[in-house]
Amino acid sequence: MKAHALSCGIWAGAVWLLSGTWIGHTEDLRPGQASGFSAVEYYPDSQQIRVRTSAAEGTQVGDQYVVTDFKLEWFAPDGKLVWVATAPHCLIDQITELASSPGHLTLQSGDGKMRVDGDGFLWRQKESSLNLSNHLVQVTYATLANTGTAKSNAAKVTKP
Amino acid sequence: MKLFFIIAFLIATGAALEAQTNAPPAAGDSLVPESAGAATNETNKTVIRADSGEYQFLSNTVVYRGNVSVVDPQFKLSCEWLVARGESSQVTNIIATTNVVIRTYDPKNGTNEAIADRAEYVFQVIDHATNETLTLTALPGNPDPVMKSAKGSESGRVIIIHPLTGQVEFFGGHGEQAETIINRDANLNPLGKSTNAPVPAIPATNLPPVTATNTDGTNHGK
Repeated sequence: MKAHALSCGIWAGAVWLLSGTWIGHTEDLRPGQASGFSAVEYYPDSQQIRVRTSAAEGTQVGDQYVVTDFKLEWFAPDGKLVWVATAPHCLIDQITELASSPGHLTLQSGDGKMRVDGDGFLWRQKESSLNLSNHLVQVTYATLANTGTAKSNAAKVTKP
Repeated sequence: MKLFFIIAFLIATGAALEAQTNAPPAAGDSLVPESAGAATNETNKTVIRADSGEYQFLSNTVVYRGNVSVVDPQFKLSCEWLVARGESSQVTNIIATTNVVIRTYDPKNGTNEAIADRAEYVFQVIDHATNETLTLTALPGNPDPVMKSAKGSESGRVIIIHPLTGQVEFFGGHGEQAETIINRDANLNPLGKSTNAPVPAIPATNLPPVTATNTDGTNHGK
Protein backbone atom coordinates (compact mmCIF):
# COMPACT_ATOMS: atom_id res chain seq x y z
CA MET A 1 0.00 0.00 0.00
CA LYS A 2 1.40 3.27 -1.01
CA ALA A 3 0.30 5.49 1.80
CA HIS A 4 1.30 8.59 -0.03
CA ALA A 5 -0.87 7.69 -2.93
CA LEU A 6 -3.76 7.08 -0.64
CA SER A 7 -3.16 10.27 1.27
CA CYS A 8 -2.88 12.56 -1.65
CA GLY A 9 -5.23 10.86 -3.95
CA ILE A 10 -8.52 10.57 -2.28
CA TRP A 11 -9.05 14.12 -1.32
CA ALA A 12 -7.64 15.59 -4.43
CA GLY A 13 -10.01 13.42 -6.31
CA ALA A 14 -12.94 14.25 -4.14
CA VAL A 15 -12.39 17.97 -4.22
CA TRP A 16 -11.77 17.81 -7.91
CA LEU A 17 -14.92 15.86 -8.31
CA LEU A 18 -16.97 18.27 -6.29
CA SER A 19 -15.53 21.39 -7.79
CA GLY A 20 -17.16 20.54 -11.05
CA THR A 21 -13.92 19.92 -12.91
CA TRP A 22 -14.99 16.48 -13.92
CA ILE A 23 -12.95 14.22 -16.06
CA GLY A 24 -14.54 11.70 -18.31
CA HIS A 25 -18.26 11.32 -18.70
CA THR A 26 -20.02 14.05 -16.81
CA GLU A 27 -23.54 15.26 -17.00
CA ASP A 28 -24.44 18.41 -15.12
CA LEU A 29 -28.01 18.29 -13.97
CA ARG A 30 -28.30 21.62 -12.19
CA PRO A 31 -26.08 23.76 -9.98
CA GLY A 32 -24.78 21.67 -7.15
CA GLN A 33 -25.65 18.39 -8.75
CA ALA A 34 -23.84 16.17 -11.20
CA SER A 35 -23.85 12.55 -12.30
CA GLY A 36 -21.56 10.03 -13.86
CA PHE A 37 -18.33 11.66 -12.87
CA SER A 38 -14.84 10.59 -12.04
CA ALA A 39 -11.58 12.25 -11.15
CA VAL A 40 -8.06 11.00 -11.37
CA GLU A 41 -4.71 11.89 -9.90
CA TYR A 42 -1.43 10.86 -11.47
CA TYR A 43 1.92 9.92 -10.13
CA PRO A 44 4.36 12.80 -10.40
CA ASP A 45 5.97 13.07 -13.80
CA SER A 46 3.98 10.12 -15.02
CA GLN A 47 0.88 9.26 -16.96
CA GLN A 48 0.09 6.50 -14.51
CA ILE A 49 -3.08 6.98 -12.50
CA ARG A 50 -2.51 6.95 -8.78
CA VAL A 51 -6.04 7.47 -7.51
CA ARG A 52 -9.33 7.40 -9.28
CA THR A 53 -12.38 8.78 -7.54
CA SER A 54 -15.79 8.17 -8.95
CA ALA A 55 -19.42 8.32 -8.03
CA ALA A 56 -22.74 7.94 -9.73
CA GLU A 57 -24.27 11.17 -8.49
CA GLY A 58 -23.41 14.06 -6.25
CA THR A 59 -25.64 16.63 -4.59
CA GLN A 60 -24.52 19.71 -2.71
CA VAL A 61 -25.99 20.18 0.74
CA GLY A 62 -24.57 23.33 2.25
CA ASP A 63 -20.83 22.94 2.46
CA GLN A 64 -21.12 19.22 2.07
CA TYR A 65 -21.81 16.90 -0.78
CA VAL A 66 -23.76 13.71 -0.81
CA VAL A 67 -22.57 11.21 -3.37
CA THR A 68 -23.83 7.79 -4.33
CA ASP A 69 -21.97 4.70 -5.46
CA PHE A 70 -18.77 6.19 -4.19
CA LYS A 71 -15.60 4.44 -5.25
CA LEU A 72 -11.95 5.07 -4.57
CA GLU A 73 -9.29 3.12 -6.39
CA TRP A 74 -5.60 3.19 -5.65
CA PHE A 75 -3.07 2.02 -8.18
CA ALA A 76 0.56 1.04 -7.92
CA PRO A 77 3.15 2.76 -10.12
CA ASP A 78 3.02 -0.23 -12.46
CA GLY A 79 -0.69 0.24 -12.93
CA LYS A 80 -1.88 -2.63 -10.78
CA LEU A 81 -4.94 -2.01 -8.66
CA VAL A 82 -3.86 -1.96 -5.02
CA TRP A 83 -7.01 -1.12 -3.12
CA VAL A 84 -10.56 -0.22 -3.88
CA ALA A 85 -13.05 1.19 -1.42
CA THR A 86 -16.72 1.38 -2.22
CA ALA A 87 -19.71 2.77 -0.42
CA PRO A 88 -23.27 3.20 -1.62
CA HIS A 89 -23.50 6.60 0.00
CA CYS A 90 -20.97 9.07 1.30
CA LEU A 91 -21.00 12.58 2.73
CA ILE A 92 -17.99 14.69 1.84
CA ASP A 93 -17.05 17.86 3.64
CA GLN A 94 -14.57 19.97 1.75
CA ILE A 95 -13.76 22.26 4.66
CA THR A 96 -12.96 19.61 7.24
CA GLU A 97 -11.69 17.19 4.63
CA LEU A 98 -13.76 14.39 6.01
CA ALA A 99 -15.78 11.76 4.24
CA SER A 100 -18.27 9.75 6.21
CA SER A 101 -21.36 7.65 6.10
CA PRO A 102 -23.45 5.61 8.50
CA GLY A 103 -23.77 3.05 5.77
CA HIS A 104 -21.70 0.17 4.58
CA LEU A 105 -18.15 0.34 3.29
CA THR A 106 -16.11 -2.32 1.60
CA LEU A 107 -12.35 -2.18 1.27
CA GLN A 108 -10.78 -4.78 -0.96
CA SER A 109 -7.23 -5.41 -2.03
CA GLY A 110 -6.47 -5.49 -5.70
CA ASP A 111 -5.20 -9.05 -5.60
CA GLY A 112 -8.40 -10.21 -3.99
CA LYS A 113 -6.65 -11.62 -0.95
CA MET A 114 -8.23 -9.30 1.53
CA ARG A 115 -11.63 -7.79 2.07
CA VAL A 116 -12.86 -5.57 4.85
CA ASP A 117 -16.49 -4.79 5.53
CA GLY A 118 -17.93 -2.44 8.07
CA ASP A 119 -20.91 -0.28 8.82
CA GLY A 120 -20.33 3.38 9.38
CA PHE A 121 -17.06 4.93 8.35
CA LEU A 122 -15.07 8.09 8.63
CA TRP A 123 -12.22 8.94 6.31
CA ARG A 124 -9.82 11.59 7.53
CA GLN A 125 -7.93 12.93 4.61
CA LYS A 126 -5.28 14.80 6.57
CA GLU A 127 -4.35 11.73 8.56
CA SER A 128 -5.07 9.21 5.82
CA SER A 129 -7.05 7.31 8.36
CA LEU A 130 -10.12 5.19 7.78
CA ASN A 131 -12.33 4.40 10.75
CA LEU A 132 -14.90 1.66 10.60
CA SER A 133 -17.37 2.16 13.41
CA ASN A 134 -19.31 -1.07 13.57
CA HIS A 135 -19.28 -4.71 12.62
CA LEU A 136 -15.80 -4.83 11.23
CA VAL A 137 -15.10 -8.08 9.42
CA GLN A 138 -11.79 -8.64 7.68
CA VAL A 139 -11.22 -11.75 5.64
CA THR A 140 -7.73 -12.51 4.44
CA TYR A 141 -6.83 -15.29 2.09
CA ALA A 142 -3.15 -16.07 2.24
CA THR A 143 -0.61 -18.79 1.86
CA LEU A 144 0.30 -20.31 5.15
CA ALA A 145 3.89 -19.37 5.50
CA ASN A 146 6.34 -21.70 7.12
CA THR A 147 8.18 -19.42 9.44
CA GLY A 148 10.27 -22.29 10.67
CA THR A 149 12.50 -22.23 7.62
CA ALA A 150 13.87 -18.80 8.29
CA LYS A 151 17.26 -18.25 9.78
CA SER A 152 16.96 -17.22 13.36
CA ASN A 153 18.86 -15.17 15.84
CA ALA A 154 16.80 -16.54 18.67
CA ALA A 155 18.43 -17.73 21.82
CA LYS A 156 19.77 -21.23 22.12
CA VAL A 157 17.43 -24.11 21.59
CA THR A 158 17.27 -26.72 24.27
CA LYS A 159 16.95 -30.13 22.73
CA PRO A 160 14.38 -32.41 24.26
CA MET B 1 -1.44 -2.11 4.12
CA LYS B 2 -0.57 -5.67 4.76
CA LEU B 3 -3.28 -6.74 7.08
CA PHE B 4 -2.53 -10.37 6.57
CA PHE B 5 0.48 -9.79 8.78
CA ILE B 6 -1.78 -10.96 11.49
CA ILE B 7 -1.50 -14.41 10.07
CA ALA B 8 2.22 -14.53 10.63
CA PHE B 9 1.73 -13.56 14.22
CA LEU B 10 -0.87 -16.14 14.84
CA ILE B 11 0.99 -18.89 13.08
CA ALA B 12 3.98 -18.04 15.16
CA THR B 13 1.86 -18.28 18.22
CA GLY B 14 0.62 -21.63 17.16
CA ALA B 15 4.13 -22.85 16.59
CA ALA B 16 4.99 -22.22 20.16
CA LEU B 17 1.95 -23.89 21.55
CA GLU B 18 1.17 -26.74 19.27
CA ALA B 19 3.94 -29.09 20.24
CA GLN B 20 2.72 -29.53 23.74
CA THR B 21 0.94 -32.82 24.03
CA ASN B 22 -2.50 -33.47 25.39
CA ALA B 23 -5.62 -35.48 24.77
CA PRO B 24 -8.17 -34.57 22.14
CA PRO B 25 -10.88 -32.21 23.28
CA ALA B 26 -14.43 -33.27 23.74
CA ALA B 27 -16.76 -33.22 20.79
CA GLY B 28 -18.18 -29.78 20.37
CA ASP B 29 -15.41 -28.28 22.40
CA SER B 30 -15.26 -24.65 21.45
CA LEU B 31 -11.49 -24.74 21.49
CA VAL B 32 -11.44 -26.79 18.34
CA PRO B 33 -10.94 -24.49 15.39
CA GLU B 34 -13.93 -24.20 13.13
CA SER B 35 -12.06 -25.72 10.28
CA ALA B 36 -10.92 -28.79 12.18
CA GLY B 37 -11.37 -31.72 9.89
CA ALA B 38 -11.06 -29.67 6.76
CA ALA B 39 -8.12 -30.01 4.46
CA THR B 40 -5.49 -27.34 4.69
CA ASN B 41 -4.63 -25.64 1.42
CA GLU B 42 -2.97 -22.50 0.22
CA THR B 43 -6.14 -20.52 0.32
CA ASN B 44 -6.85 -20.80 3.98
CA LYS B 45 -8.55 -17.73 5.24
CA THR B 46 -8.19 -15.74 8.39
CA VAL B 47 -11.20 -13.84 9.64
CA ILE B 48 -10.85 -10.90 11.99
CA ARG B 49 -13.88 -9.43 13.66
CA ALA B 50 -14.09 -6.40 15.89
CA ASP B 51 -16.57 -3.85 17.05
CA SER B 52 -14.60 -1.18 15.25
CA GLY B 53 -11.26 -0.53 13.66
CA GLU B 54 -8.98 2.06 12.22
CA TYR B 55 -6.71 1.73 9.23
CA GLN B 56 -3.92 4.27 9.44
CA PHE B 57 -2.34 4.20 6.04
CA LEU B 58 0.46 6.68 6.60
CA SER B 59 1.91 4.71 9.49
CA ASN B 60 0.96 1.26 8.18
CA THR B 61 -0.98 0.60 11.34
CA VAL B 62 -4.27 -1.12 11.95
CA VAL B 63 -6.14 -0.93 15.23
CA TYR B 64 -8.97 -3.28 16.11
CA ARG B 65 -11.15 -2.36 19.08
CA GLY B 66 -13.76 -4.23 21.08
CA ASN B 67 -14.47 -7.95 21.07
CA VAL B 68 -11.59 -8.64 18.74
CA SER B 69 -11.48 -12.18 17.46
CA VAL B 70 -9.18 -13.81 14.96
CA VAL B 71 -10.13 -17.17 13.57
CA ASP B 72 -7.69 -19.14 11.49
CA PRO B 73 -7.64 -22.83 10.56
CA GLN B 74 -4.85 -23.35 13.06
CA PHE B 75 -5.63 -20.99 15.87
CA LYS B 76 -7.99 -18.58 17.50
CA LEU B 77 -7.22 -15.36 19.26
CA SER B 78 -9.47 -13.09 21.23
CA CYS B 79 -8.79 -9.84 23.02
CA GLU B 80 -10.27 -6.42 23.47
CA TRP B 81 -7.72 -4.40 21.57
CA LEU B 82 -5.21 -5.31 18.92
CA VAL B 83 -2.84 -3.13 16.96
CA ALA B 84 -0.56 -4.23 14.14
CA ARG B 85 2.23 -2.21 12.60
CA GLY B 86 4.29 -3.02 9.59
CA GLU B 87 6.98 -1.88 7.26
CA SER B 88 6.91 -2.66 3.59
CA SER B 89 5.50 -6.17 3.39
CA GLN B 90 6.48 -7.33 6.86
CA VAL B 91 4.70 -6.95 10.15
CA THR B 92 7.06 -5.64 12.77
CA ASN B 93 4.94 -5.32 15.85
CA ILE B 94 1.60 -6.61 17.06
CA ILE B 95 0.16 -5.90 20.48
CA ALA B 96 -2.96 -7.55 21.83
CA THR B 97 -4.26 -6.41 25.17
CA THR B 98 -6.99 -7.16 27.69
CA ASN B 99 -8.26 -10.68 28.13
CA VAL B 100 -5.90 -12.11 25.57
CA VAL B 101 -6.61 -15.75 24.83
CA ILE B 102 -4.73 -17.65 22.15
CA ARG B 103 -5.84 -21.18 21.32
CA THR B 104 -4.31 -23.67 18.98
CA TYR B 105 -5.21 -27.19 18.10
CA ASP B 106 -3.80 -30.13 16.23
CA PRO B 107 -4.76 -33.79 16.37
CA LYS B 108 -1.45 -34.89 17.80
CA ASN B 109 -1.18 -32.39 20.56
CA GLY B 110 -4.76 -31.37 21.07
CA THR B 111 -5.81 -28.00 22.33
CA ASN B 112 -3.43 -25.55 23.85
CA GLU B 113 -4.21 -22.22 25.35
CA ALA B 114 -2.29 -19.13 26.34
CA ILE B 115 -3.87 -16.49 28.55
CA ALA B 116 -2.40 -13.10 29.31
CA ASP B 117 -3.26 -9.47 29.78
CA ARG B 118 -0.92 -8.51 27.04
CA ALA B 119 0.76 -10.26 24.14
CA GLU B 120 3.34 -8.52 22.03
CA TYR B 121 4.85 -9.88 18.85
CA VAL B 122 8.07 -8.31 17.60
CA PHE B 123 9.81 -9.02 14.31
CA GLN B 124 13.39 -7.90 13.83
CA VAL B 125 16.12 -8.38 11.29
CA ILE B 126 19.54 -8.52 12.92
CA ASP B 127 22.63 -9.16 10.83
CA HIS B 128 20.48 -10.31 7.91
CA ALA B 129 18.72 -12.85 10.09
CA THR B 130 15.15 -12.68 11.28
CA ASN B 131 14.17 -12.88 14.88
CA GLU B 132 10.66 -13.14 16.23
CA THR B 133 9.41 -13.09 19.77
CA LEU B 134 6.01 -13.26 21.37
CA THR B 135 5.97 -11.95 24.91
CA LEU B 136 3.10 -12.61 27.28
CA THR B 137 2.71 -10.40 30.34
CA ALA B 138 0.14 -9.45 32.92
CA LEU B 139 -0.84 -6.16 34.47
CA PRO B 140 0.36 -5.54 38.03
CA GLY B 141 -1.90 -7.30 40.47
CA ASN B 142 -3.39 -9.58 37.85
CA PRO B 143 -2.67 -13.29 37.52
CA ASP B 144 0.47 -14.22 35.65
CA PRO B 145 0.21 -15.24 32.02
CA VAL B 146 -0.24 -18.96 31.65
CA MET B 147 0.12 -21.60 28.96
CA LYS B 148 -2.17 -24.59 29.33
CA SER B 149 -2.12 -28.00 27.77
CA ALA B 150 -3.29 -31.47 28.71
CA LYS B 151 0.03 -32.07 30.40
CA GLY B 152 -0.59 -29.17 32.70
CA SER B 153 -0.06 -25.49 32.89
CA GLU B 154 2.95 -23.25 33.09
CA SER B 155 3.06 -19.67 34.19
CA GLY B 156 5.52 -16.92 34.89
CA ARG B 157 5.55 -13.20 35.26
CA VAL B 158 6.81 -13.06 31.71
CA ILE B 159 6.61 -15.76 29.06
CA ILE B 160 8.69 -15.29 25.94
CA ILE B 161 8.03 -17.51 22.95
CA HIS B 162 10.50 -17.79 20.09
CA PRO B 163 8.35 -18.96 17.20
CA LEU B 164 11.23 -19.73 14.87
CA THR B 165 12.88 -22.14 17.25
CA GLY B 166 9.95 -23.23 19.33
CA GLN B 167 11.74 -22.21 22.49
CA VAL B 168 9.61 -20.91 25.33
CA GLU B 169 11.08 -19.07 28.27
CA PHE B 170 9.35 -18.58 31.60
CA PHE B 171 10.49 -15.80 33.90
CA GLY B 172 9.39 -15.53 37.52
CA GLY B 173 8.83 -12.28 39.29
CA HIS B 174 10.96 -10.73 41.95
CA GLY B 175 12.31 -13.71 43.81
CA GLU B 176 9.56 -15.86 42.42
CA GLN B 177 9.73 -19.11 40.54
CA ALA B 178 7.94 -19.88 37.36
CA GLU B 179 5.22 -22.41 38.13
CA THR B 180 4.59 -25.67 36.36
CA ILE B 181 1.63 -27.93 37.05
CA ILE B 182 1.59 -31.31 35.35
CA ASN B 183 -1.60 -33.30 35.07
CA ARG B 184 -1.26 -37.00 35.83
CA ASP B 185 -4.43 -37.87 33.97
CA ALA B 186 -3.42 -38.19 30.35
CA ASN B 187 -7.04 -37.96 29.29
CA LEU B 188 -7.57 -34.66 30.95
CA ASN B 189 -7.88 -31.84 28.50
CA PRO B 190 -7.10 -28.23 29.31
CA LEU B 191 -10.67 -27.64 30.34
CA GLY B 192 -10.35 -30.32 32.96
CA LYS B 193 -12.90 -32.55 31.30
CA SER B 194 -12.12 -36.17 30.64
CA THR B 195 -12.91 -37.14 27.10
CA ASN B 196 -12.73 -39.96 24.64
CA ALA B 197 -13.85 -37.92 21.69
CA PRO B 198 -12.35 -38.79 18.32
CA VAL B 199 -9.56 -36.65 17.05
CA PRO B 200 -10.72 -34.27 14.34
CA ALA B 201 -8.63 -34.57 11.22
CA ILE B 202 -6.78 -31.32 11.07
CA PRO B 203 -3.35 -31.45 9.49
CA ALA B 204 -0.38 -30.88 11.71
CA THR B 205 1.99 -28.12 10.78
CA ASN B 206 5.60 -28.61 9.91
CA LEU B 207 6.79 -26.08 12.40
CA PRO B 208 9.48 -27.13 14.85
CA PRO B 209 8.53 -28.72 18.15
CA VAL B 210 8.40 -26.68 21.30
CA THR B 211 10.95 -27.03 23.99
CA ALA B 212 10.16 -25.03 27.06
CA THR B 213 13.14 -23.78 28.95
CA ASN B 214 13.19 -21.93 32.20
CA THR B 215 15.63 -19.13 32.78
CA ASP B 216 17.76 -21.44 34.89
CA GLY B 217 17.96 -23.93 32.05
CA THR B 218 15.37 -26.27 33.50
CA ASN B 219 13.17 -27.86 30.89
CA HIS B 220 9.43 -27.55 31.12
CA GLY B 221 6.67 -29.22 29.29
CA LYS B 222 8.64 -32.08 27.81
